[in-house]
Amino acid sequence: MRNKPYKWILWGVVFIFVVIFPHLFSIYFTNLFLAFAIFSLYAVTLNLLLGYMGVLSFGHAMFFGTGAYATAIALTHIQGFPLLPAVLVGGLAGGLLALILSPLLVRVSGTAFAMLTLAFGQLIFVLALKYREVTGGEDGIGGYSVPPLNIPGVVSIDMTNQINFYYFALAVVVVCLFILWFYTKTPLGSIVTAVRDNALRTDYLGFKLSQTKAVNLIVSGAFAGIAGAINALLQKLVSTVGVLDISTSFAPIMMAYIGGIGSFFGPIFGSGVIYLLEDLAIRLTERIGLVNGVIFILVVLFAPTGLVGLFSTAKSKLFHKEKAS
Amino acid sequence: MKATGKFQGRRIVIGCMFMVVVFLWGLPQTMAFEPLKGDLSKYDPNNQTFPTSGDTIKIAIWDVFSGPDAWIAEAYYAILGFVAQDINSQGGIRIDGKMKKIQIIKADTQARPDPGKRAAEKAILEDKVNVLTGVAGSHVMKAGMAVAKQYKTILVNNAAYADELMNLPDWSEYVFRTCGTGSSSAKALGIFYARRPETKFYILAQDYLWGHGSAATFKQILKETKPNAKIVGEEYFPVFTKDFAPYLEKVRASGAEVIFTMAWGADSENLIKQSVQLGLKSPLHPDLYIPQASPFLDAAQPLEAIGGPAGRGLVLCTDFELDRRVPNVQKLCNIWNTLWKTWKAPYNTSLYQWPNGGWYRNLTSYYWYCKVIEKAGSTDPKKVIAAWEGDTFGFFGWKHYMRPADHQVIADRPICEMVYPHKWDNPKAAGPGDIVWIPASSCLPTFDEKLKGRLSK
Amino acid sequence: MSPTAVLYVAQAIHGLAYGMLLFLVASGLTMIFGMMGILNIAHASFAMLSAYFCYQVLLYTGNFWLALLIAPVVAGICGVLTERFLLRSVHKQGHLAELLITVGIMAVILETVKLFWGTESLVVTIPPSLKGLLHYAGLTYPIYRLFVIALSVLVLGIMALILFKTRLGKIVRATVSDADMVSALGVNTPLVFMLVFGIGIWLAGVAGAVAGPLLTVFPGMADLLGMDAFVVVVVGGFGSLLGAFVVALFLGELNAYGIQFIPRLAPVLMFAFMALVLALKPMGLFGERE
Repeated sequence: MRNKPYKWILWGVVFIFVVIFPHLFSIYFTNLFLAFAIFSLYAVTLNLLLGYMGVLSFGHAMFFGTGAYATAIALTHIQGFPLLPAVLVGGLAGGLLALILSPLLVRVSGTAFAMLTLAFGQLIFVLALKYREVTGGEDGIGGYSVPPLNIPGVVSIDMTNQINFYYFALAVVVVCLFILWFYTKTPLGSIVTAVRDNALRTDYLGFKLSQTKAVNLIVSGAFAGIAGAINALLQKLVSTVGVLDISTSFAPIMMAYIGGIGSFFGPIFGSGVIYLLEDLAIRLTERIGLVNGVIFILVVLFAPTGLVGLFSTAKSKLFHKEKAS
Repeated sequence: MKATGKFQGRRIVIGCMFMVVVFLWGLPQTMAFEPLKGDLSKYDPNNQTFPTSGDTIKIAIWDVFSGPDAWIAEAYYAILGFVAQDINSQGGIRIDGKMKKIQIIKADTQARPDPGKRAAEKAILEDKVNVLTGVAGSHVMKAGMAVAKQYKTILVNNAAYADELMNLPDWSEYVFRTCGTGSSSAKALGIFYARRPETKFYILAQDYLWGHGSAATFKQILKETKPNAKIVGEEYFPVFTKDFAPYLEKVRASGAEVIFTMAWGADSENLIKQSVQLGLKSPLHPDLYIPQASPFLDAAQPLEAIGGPAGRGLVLCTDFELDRRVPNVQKLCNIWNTLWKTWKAPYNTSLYQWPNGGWYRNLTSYYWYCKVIEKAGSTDPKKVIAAWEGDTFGFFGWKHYMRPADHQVIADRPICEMVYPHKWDNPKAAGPGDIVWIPASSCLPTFDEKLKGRLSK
Repeated sequence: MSPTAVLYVAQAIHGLAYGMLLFLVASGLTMIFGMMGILNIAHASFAMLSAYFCYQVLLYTGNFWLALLIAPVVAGICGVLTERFLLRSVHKQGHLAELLITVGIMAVILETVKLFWGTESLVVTIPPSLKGLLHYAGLTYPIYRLFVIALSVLVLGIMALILFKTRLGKIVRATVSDADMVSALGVNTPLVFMLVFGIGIWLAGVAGAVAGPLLTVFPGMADLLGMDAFVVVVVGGFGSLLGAFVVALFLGELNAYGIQFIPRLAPVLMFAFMALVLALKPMGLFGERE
């Protein structure tokens, strides 16, 4: 009872901050914030598999990248392709890929799952490199611009304006995050967690294991695809190195872990930490690889439950003290 | 007496006015900087002394400062630092009526397009740079070109050679390419080989647009200039292939007399070393190895690794000042190499000895940009664009002309065969021999037809 | 031999050379995973570290053989220290934590290498005794690559001898199979872990040192070797030395003949093969352990 107004105030502050952000800071920081938001969504989709289903997707960039390429290809080849479909086509591509791979992926778990996703991730990366006629190879596809947001008959908002685009992209990300959060609260979401904890038992209880896993995979893939689509719109360039390579697969794993894979919001914090770190480190040193590596090692050694874990440990210690007195 | 006095007085006044006019006209000229005239005696890339605040001309090095390829931007920092020291010690450049000095801003692309875009945005929006210079990698370049166009900042492309970068839709009037292009290098090589005895060519290029585009151009030119030439093989390898042995074995089996490669970086080095290790001898000259033809063959390490005699016959088609007989080039060599002997790590390796590596093409681009803003008297992009279009730069004895329609450089191309021994610098490696100049008109960079009528509008 | 035969034989030997190099790296990786369940992402980084050490010893002594002897041992010691102080504390947190810490270690090794040796490529020359070419029946083949093959076979032979003919080897094999049981029998398993980790890294170090003259010593070296070795271990089966051997050689030949006949698809082949095998046998071809 005491927590409810506290939580609402917190959300209110966050909401206001996010809305006035582009008016407080320059375009550079606005774009940085957007990049953080996009990768938050991407990391959350990875956590749907890692935290909620207990499997590590080692090639998650294939969903992100497929979504990004789908959007870029649609915008380059079809004149006047509208904005919302451009985003949705990214989600569709990611979800479709997950659907195609699901018969294979639901049969395995643990290390085998990680290795299989690694194999497919790399396969798609190399295929994209080779089929340059379609994907532009390493040089990528660029030169498309963000179409305006058209609500027929009502208004047409120009998306080449960075601030307009910020609100649009952020709205998409927030809506997606909300849908995913809601999804984890549904019965289906709980079953997924049950699968993680004890697959055999869940099976015996009569839940359809394969189908549950498949649905979770497709949801994860589709929303990763949407994150990719928004990224394609932000960067106005997609290339294999930027969206399909192994570091793009690693990034959400690190973010989820640093933030805490045990909570829905963990990956969002993790994404924030990584981006903050990058921006700070770049100003101070050229050895950002070293900074990232050392911090990562420290987190794994001393904060394995991630930031969220640290918060809740700190919080419970405070509350316990109050209770004791 | 009265008449003489008045007459004399007037003469003095006219004389004074004349001198004032001459002085005022001559003043900008004397205030203009001249390359290599500054105080470079103590220049140390590890301890640079350019101003870090105030009203300066901010030039950004937008390239790879971190990760395995950090040597790229490390080198550019030394070169731009040299230019900055030269110009700053001469007082700087007159911009908007004031003498301003050069300040270097670092912008790390991390060799990826997303951080590259952010670094460009940061440099423009936060650090307020006047110009971005870079970059290694066409995908990063494309991202940067979009940023430069959006925020209306000049971008000097001195490192990305892919032809299609300067086509629409990526092209914008804010971008100037000062380096060569794949097509101009390939054309120059095609014409070079027209007059040579070799007839069997093997194309072994990197598997992306750069490799494919250059190879296509080379084949086309060869067809026109040398009908009896045969392409005995054509392979494209992934960038950063580790082991070229299987490819080189195919080259050996094909009887090729020249390998057309266009590879750069680790690929170029590995190709050179491994072809010598595999004993890939030339069918025409059994004491030489099959020559490779490329713009990027002059890095010191692989040439030293294979030794001077083994490096003979390599064909270098470069786009930077090569002719050491030109007095200004000789002066640059002397100043730089004398300084180099005093430098500490990481600048004390043979990589930084003049004229290694070929990225000294950046030297031209930095000096040229400074000359252009001096000519314009401003760093305002519109004025810079107007001043640069049609401008020429030839301080190092070799005229570069900025094509107004699409901002690409037209220049003759020097091609030479590596020889050993040679009388220039590195005694452990083969070095450039006699230069064959391919006229600019035969090796023009590709032109996007859609830009044709741009300036007449 | 006819020129075509010469070509095919040369390609076969190239494939063998690269395959053996891969096997050296992968063997350590597979033993480490098989025994400790650690997926060591930083494995190839240690190989690269060894290549740099080799360069350094060569610089000081001018003796390639000495460098070849010392560098992998130093790398192995670095490996042992890493295991003792970083990996062991993370062990109880599970496989994901171990994997992630090795990612951090990989980044730190890369930066350390750049810090001490700079970012450019370094030259390690082939010693005069191994320079030159072998001419036989129309075939021209570099002696150094034959040396790589011979050295790998020698190392493999010694490893096999130790593993299968000595008591220590028996303990190691048992620990790979079931560490808890072996511990219950009174064997000091943490010590065995450390030993195996050190030897695994040493093997990678030998590969790194030997590859230096071939592949150029530069900070990006690890990426190149790393992914291929990973594929070998995954496809061959975790913990299976035989699997690593078979798959490493197969991939080496696949690479060489792929480039010979279908060069455009050659890089795709490796991952397609990996995906295919894993789809049918998720534990790898010879794998037994989860």
